[in-house]
Amino acid sequence: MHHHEDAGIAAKILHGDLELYAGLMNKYQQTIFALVAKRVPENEVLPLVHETFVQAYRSLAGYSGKVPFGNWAARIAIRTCCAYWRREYRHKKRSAGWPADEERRQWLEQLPDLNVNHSADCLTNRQDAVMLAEWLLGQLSPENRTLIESVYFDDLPLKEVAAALGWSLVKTKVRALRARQKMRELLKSIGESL
Amino acid sequence: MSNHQLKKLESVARHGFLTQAGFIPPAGWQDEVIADIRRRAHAEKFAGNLKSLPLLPLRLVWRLAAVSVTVAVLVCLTLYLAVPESAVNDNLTNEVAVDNFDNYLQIAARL
Repeated sequence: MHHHEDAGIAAKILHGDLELYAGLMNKYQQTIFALVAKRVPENEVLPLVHETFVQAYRSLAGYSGKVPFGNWAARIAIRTCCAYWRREYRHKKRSAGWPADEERRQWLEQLPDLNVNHSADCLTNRQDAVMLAEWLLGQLSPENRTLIESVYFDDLPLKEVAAALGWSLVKTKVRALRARQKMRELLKSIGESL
Repeated sequence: MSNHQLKKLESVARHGFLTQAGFIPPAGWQDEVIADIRRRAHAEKFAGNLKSLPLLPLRLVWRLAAVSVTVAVLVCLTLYLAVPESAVNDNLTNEVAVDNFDNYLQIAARL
């Protein structure tokens, strides 16, 4: 079981062999970078991954080895990203409405013509799809944003997300449901504004 | 807005999430993390050393200062009470009996 190996390495690191930590980072960097890159702007990815691994080191005494180090560090990464959005929301005003310029309006009007089962790869304007997703997330609270990203787009189990956010499973389920409802309402409001 | 349109928008939004660009980390980023961990450990060690410094002399100084101020106030008060009233005041108060408010006013008027 490779996480026993991780636990052994963690114990050695705690005994002062800090160089071994670079090995752990190498092993799980892909997981953490992918997770963080999905959640924050590109220029913030490296600083947040950096912070994640520093925090993981500082909490290393709490790593029991029951799960792979990467999964454990992923929880810290989720919390780090959530804290990033909390800071961002404090300093920046969220966009009030869907920026519907003429081009985007036409794009939205064309949507009914597309087949529901249409492959995502065939979408004509990927940039708009990303923008729509970003706008929707921007309307949620930092915690709900983290929750939605984790549950619906990373396909992480609810139990895992609840542990990462320090919530109960029931609270996580309820908040996920409400956040999803809010996003649905927002999508409806875009449709109605056409 | 129809359910069909809503489903389409949802699928587009989901697609938006899934097409976020990947990130290629620069070489040697782990060294930065290790260096940062070392830096923070040193800073914490330094802060810990500062905390463990004996605070007794500082507390002693503060206590001595407080005691000195109290003693000084007591001395001033004693001196004030011990010194006899001035002759002017004696004259003023001797002439008029201080037994009612009008007398007070007279004394005040002479002052």
